[in-house]
Amino acid sequence: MNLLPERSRDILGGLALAVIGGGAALRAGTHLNLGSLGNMGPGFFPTILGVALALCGALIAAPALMRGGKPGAIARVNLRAILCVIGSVAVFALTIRLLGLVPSAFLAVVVAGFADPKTKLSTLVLLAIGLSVLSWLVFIVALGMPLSALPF
Amino acid sequence: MLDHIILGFSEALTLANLWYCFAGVLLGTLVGVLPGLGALITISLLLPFTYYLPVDGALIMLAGVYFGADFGGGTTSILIGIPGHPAAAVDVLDGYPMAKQGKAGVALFTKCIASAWGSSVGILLLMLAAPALSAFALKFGPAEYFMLMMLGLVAAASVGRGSPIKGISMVLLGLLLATVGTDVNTGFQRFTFGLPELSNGIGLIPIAMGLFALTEVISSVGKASVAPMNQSLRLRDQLPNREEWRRSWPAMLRGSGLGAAFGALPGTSGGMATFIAYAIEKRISKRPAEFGKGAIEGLAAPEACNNAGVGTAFIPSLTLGIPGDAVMALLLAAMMLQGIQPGPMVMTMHPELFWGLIASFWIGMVILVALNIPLIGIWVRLLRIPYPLLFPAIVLFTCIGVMSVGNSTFDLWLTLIFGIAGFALILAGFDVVPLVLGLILGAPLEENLRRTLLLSDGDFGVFLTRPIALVAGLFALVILGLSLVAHFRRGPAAQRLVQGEME
Repeated sequence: MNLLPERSRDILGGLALAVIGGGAALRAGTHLNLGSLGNMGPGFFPTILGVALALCGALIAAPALMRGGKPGAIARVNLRAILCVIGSVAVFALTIRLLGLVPSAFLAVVVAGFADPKTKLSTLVLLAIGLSVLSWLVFIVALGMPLSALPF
Repeated sequence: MLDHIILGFSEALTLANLWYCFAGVLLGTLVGVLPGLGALITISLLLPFTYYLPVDGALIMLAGVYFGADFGGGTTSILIGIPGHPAAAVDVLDGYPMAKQGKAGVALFTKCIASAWGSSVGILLLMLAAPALSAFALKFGPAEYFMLMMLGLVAAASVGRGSPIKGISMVLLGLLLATVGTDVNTGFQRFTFGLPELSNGIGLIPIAMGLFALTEVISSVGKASVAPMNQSLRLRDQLPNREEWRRSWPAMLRGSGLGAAFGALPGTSGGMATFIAYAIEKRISKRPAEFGKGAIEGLAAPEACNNAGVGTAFIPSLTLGIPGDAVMALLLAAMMLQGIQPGPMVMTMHPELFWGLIASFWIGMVILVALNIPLIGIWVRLLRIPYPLLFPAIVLFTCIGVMSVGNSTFDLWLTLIFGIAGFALILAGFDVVPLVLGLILGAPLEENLRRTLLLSDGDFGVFLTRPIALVAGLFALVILGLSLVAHFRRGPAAQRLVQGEME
């Protein structure tokens, strides 16, 4: 797969971690009781972790920032794959309560299948029918999962 | 010892458990053979459903998947030159050239025997070491546990891909994610942002499914599949000749010794030891020029090494409750799902579980040899299943699996978020495995730190007065120091080895 150029990925990744760590430390430090070393409050451990994470993030980003030069191009990412896989989970999450397992599984498989542009729609529909029937048999009939199979 | 073995086999030989063992190794071999699927993703997918199984059956099946995927992964490496999973990458170096020379059968047979030998060594060591270590560990207090967990986390962070600082930041992120939810000591809500769904914490399953299953699918879609070469794989074609035997068995011995030693250390599995085993064989060989062109030692040693490590990796997980790699973390999670707290008490409170699991390893290995030598042709045909038909099924089973644990769509959204986050982390050159170890060990790590300092009244000097804690802490410092030095000099050790051998 494509990786970002080392410099820009270290800058972005390091800064993101520094923000997450700093934010967590700030939130835990201000909202929760720190306590003392001998009797730690709920905020103590998260604050320490947040500070340490922020430090690590800075240590990752700083050398990359100081190296200078162009930040380098952002690598090509398979946007179609990301959108389809994410979309498939989202469709399942939105429809499982409404429609039940079989239609929901059918939709999830079709959306996920679009991730690969070479797959034919007819193949995909057949696959989706097969998998939704299979999952009804395995998870509802055999394992007895508390999900409804159909909307009615 | 003998009564334990009898207990184990009487547990493992029940019809139900034999079936779970068979199903596990069969499924493991299947996913091991298919490129893009490995033990990690399969165990993540199965984890939620083990909730519906008895605890012994669940663990036997998951362990079977782990062993089976290790056996099957090498098949793909040998036949199409693409590793079925990362730990089998080293098999490509000499296994694939052997197959190209028309010796695919011999390569597969040698791989299988080396795996079986390595597994036997690993399981035997597990049987010998675990009871003693577990009895010893019963005396550990919170200070010892805290430092041993720190050692495990530091090792996992230092040895993985990328720089040790990146590994440590992933551990810290995992630990931080583990603090989300209600604080067990005080009942305060931490990082829940008023969402009632978060008060029980972020479950391991949405995170593991997002980081391992979804991330893997996103990064693998669109990869071209390669057809395996057509070769006769009758049993007659698989048997190595006398010269090949003579060259491979000492390599298997050395490989299994190395693998057993490395596997027991937390955080060191995942293929690094196999590359060291390969490098050693190449160095001591009288014919180093043959390596990379089909030297049988270059296949036998890493394969024995890998499987010996699989056996001994269970030692810290089952005796201390400290997982050495992501698969072990998921197996411990399966125990926790069933209400069994991993740790030294498992062996005394649930001896039938521990010894039954070990007996099932032996049974599973016999099944694996039977599946892999006479039936190899079936697995080879599986290599033709196209990935475009496979990955929608993985996504669907991820969704259903997440729903099956808490019956909550909130968990599905979490899975989705972690899928995106995992992909972003991989793009940025981070390894997500230390994150999962941090997540699993977060709660006990904090608990043991709090308890230690409560007992010592806030004095950190207590870690210096307890010898085991001190030694573990020193080890952690040494590992961290060495990996930092190595990184700033020449880049990560594992990467260097891989590049060195691939050239």
